[in-house]
Amino acid sequence: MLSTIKYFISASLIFLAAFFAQGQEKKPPKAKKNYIPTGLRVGTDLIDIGKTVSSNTFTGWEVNGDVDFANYYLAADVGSWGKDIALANGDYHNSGTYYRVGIDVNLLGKDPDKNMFFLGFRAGHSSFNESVTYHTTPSHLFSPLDTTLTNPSATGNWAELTNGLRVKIWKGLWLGYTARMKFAPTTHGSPNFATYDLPGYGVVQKSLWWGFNYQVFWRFAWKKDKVLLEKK
Amino acid sequence: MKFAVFLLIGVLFGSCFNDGNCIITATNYMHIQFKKETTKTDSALDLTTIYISGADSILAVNAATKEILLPLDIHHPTTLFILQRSNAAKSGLVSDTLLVGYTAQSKVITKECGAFTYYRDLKILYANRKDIKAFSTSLLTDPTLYVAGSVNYQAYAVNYQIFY
Repeated sequence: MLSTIKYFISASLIFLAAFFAQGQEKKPPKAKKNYIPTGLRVGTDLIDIGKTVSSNTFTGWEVNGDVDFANYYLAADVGSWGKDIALANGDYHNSGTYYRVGIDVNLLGKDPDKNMFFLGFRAGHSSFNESVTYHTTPSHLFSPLDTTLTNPSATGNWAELTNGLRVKIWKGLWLGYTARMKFAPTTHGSPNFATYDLPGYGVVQKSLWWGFNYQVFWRFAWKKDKVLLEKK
Repeated sequence: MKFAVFLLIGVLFGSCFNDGNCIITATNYMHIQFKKETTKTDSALDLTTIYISGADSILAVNAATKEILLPLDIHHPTTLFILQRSNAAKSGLVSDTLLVGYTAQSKVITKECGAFTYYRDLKILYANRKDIKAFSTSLLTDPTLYVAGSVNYQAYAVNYQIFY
């Protein structure tokens, strides 16, 4: 966990420093903020696609989108995931859909291409089902027990702090990543079955959980972003 | 260059997932301590046998003990215990009856550890002894307190104290 946090902070600081240094070299004129949206960026998570293709235990996809309001972005993610996990004493399966909604703040507000290094927040919600089958071997006084339980219509909520990059590669093509620090998961379902893996969140436990998206986007721009110069 | 940077970040964050530790605190053993009614101090009972509903056999004790771990029937939501003990005052055997109810909750710890059943909401449905003090309503054990080859009562949460 400590090493994860170190990676997270180090990577963030490196990119922050790099982009601010770039900004200092060019010294662009100070721009007035224009809060009228200039485009919609829609993308997908390549990691989910890769895992779905390469693994027979995970099936999932995620679509990401954001709209700019100056250096603030209204961001939303919609996705689905299902997992088949072989346990030491049984099997676990889940399947569900989720969405996240939140705000990203672009710390590179002066970048003419609207490249982003951002910090943000998300609220997530998931609707899912899960089932578990496992074998219990008790003391010699009782016979072994095979337990099968389902959580047919469970829901869950959580919050995330996000950090990431969006970089314009060519015309409307963008690449980016989003690192997610997930916390405060709550679940509602069968009281006899504690949720293990919450779609969109991950393993439900007391400590933090981490997520990472490696994304490709296409930006549909309906308005050329004007850099308004302040009159001196 | 941009592609190389993205690849590097992907590798960095690809290792950000761990599945927690394999610490299993689930148990089906209920921890009961015996106390003297007058002094509230430990009281060693001369238990001879214990009948446990749903069990394959009767538990033979034949020893004086001031606490005991009793296994709950994992196949049913209630377990009946009949504790038979020697009573010098009455020059014979005396039986105490205890019927407990509970709920079970399944939890997957990790894929390497597996899934386990946690017993909670423990309550006495019937007891012929009335002076019973309840403590934890969950059956829990601390795996770090296990002592190989012997029973360490300290590793189990105390559920009831029965006063004699």
